Amino acid sequence: MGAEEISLLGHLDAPILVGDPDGCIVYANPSFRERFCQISGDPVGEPLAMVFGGGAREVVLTATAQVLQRGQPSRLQIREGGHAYTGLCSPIEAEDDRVGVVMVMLEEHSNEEHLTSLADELGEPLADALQAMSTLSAELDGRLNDRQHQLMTASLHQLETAQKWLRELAVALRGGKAQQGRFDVSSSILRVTERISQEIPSSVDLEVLMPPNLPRVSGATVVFERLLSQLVRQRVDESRPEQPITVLARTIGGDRPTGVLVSVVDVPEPDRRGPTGHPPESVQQGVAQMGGEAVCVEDGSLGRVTSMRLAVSSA
Amino acid sequence: MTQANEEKVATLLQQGLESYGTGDVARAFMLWNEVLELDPGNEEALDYMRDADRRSKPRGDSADGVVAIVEDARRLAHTENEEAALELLTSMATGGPIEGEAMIELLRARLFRHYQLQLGDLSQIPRVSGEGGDLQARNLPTSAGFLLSMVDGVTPLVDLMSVSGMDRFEALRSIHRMHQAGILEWD
Repeated sequence: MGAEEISLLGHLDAPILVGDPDGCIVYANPSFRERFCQISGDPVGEPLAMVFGGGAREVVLTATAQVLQRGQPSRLQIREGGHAYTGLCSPIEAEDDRVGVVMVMLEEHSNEEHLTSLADELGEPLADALQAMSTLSAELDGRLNDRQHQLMTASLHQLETAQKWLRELAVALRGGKAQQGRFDVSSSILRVTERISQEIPSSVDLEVLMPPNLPRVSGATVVFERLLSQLVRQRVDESRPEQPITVLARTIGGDRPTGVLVSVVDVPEPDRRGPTGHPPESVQQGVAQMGGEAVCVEDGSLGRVTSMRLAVSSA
Repeated sequence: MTQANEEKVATLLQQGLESYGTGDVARAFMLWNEVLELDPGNEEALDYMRDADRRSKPRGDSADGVVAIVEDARRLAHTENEEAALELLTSMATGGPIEGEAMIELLRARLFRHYQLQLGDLSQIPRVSGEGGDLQARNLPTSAGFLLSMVDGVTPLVDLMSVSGMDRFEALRSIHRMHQAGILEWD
């Protein structure tokens, strides 16, 4: 019979965790295991640092240390698996000694996810409108009178402004600042390219050029790998047969690295490509949420490069 | 280096200075880059490029300046001078707009393919050429010297690149330059 079944805590919906003074887990109720340990498995005996990732790790460890030191309960706020939790961390005392901590997590229900999905929904048509206006502007170049040209320029400018504020909104919805956490971008690139190499025909040459060591960058592995996969797949779909696709990464900022540039170079097939080379709006938004930026530079004879600049983590 | 090559290097260096003096930075970089093809690590050419970088920093500090440099680089690349285009872009002040950095990546990807095509099968085993001349007098860049130190007549090119711990682009570029300059050879 599992510990959770003989404990009343096992029947509560709120995730509950008990830790010892060394910061290791001695009990986690089923709700906690379900929400926080789906991948890592049984957390009992594991250090708290192994169970929580990203910014949550620091928050939980700090709260635990404070509780054990002062003997006073402490509140904390973390995000895990797309959910926000408010936690109460209290000391467990026996006679005159503190023997551990108990942590209760309460999920915060908000409409943040709904608002974020609405922002995503708005992003795509806005990007399409901008692409259409840009194409129209290029095709009518020289044929518009002054007033029409002025209107066209103003429309493009306003659409770009709307797109910029939409990105700001998406960032604000996720806490008013770039996503917390840091990750190993080299490993992510290798994982994504290996995965995609297995999906695409062997005739497509996918080359990776990067130094063996790159600094860790701000953001989340899962988010970055999703964005890079999306971008590479799109470029593979649009690429000209027999032309390689190259994924490159390098540090930028000279002696004091400020960022890592991850780029995808391809030569698009005119019949299969989109009207502009801009990375998908979701990629631009995702990179912005990690505190970076994405651009596309294209040249008729040289090819196309889509670059994502990620900030080096200061942690 | 042969007498003829030495004279050519001197002429190219001078022509580069003249182009730079007339404001044609792109052509100057193209000419100095030709010097590096003949004589990798030529200090004079490298000095001119670094100096041109310092003097042209005001261009690189503004968005318009970066656009101008990127356009110059494009022009060079369109005339089969991708090496010079890359040198020009990498001479830009760091921390510039991302478009300039992206263009560098486009050129790196293209040049990597170019090196691969020119060098052929990377399972070939390189050796130091007897005609390479006095290597110490050539003032090779550190990375080239490091690669050269691992050339033992047994290790193929592909393994040299792996064990060097360098970015594959930089390793292949270095090998390509030394091959072009007659320092490295294979059957």
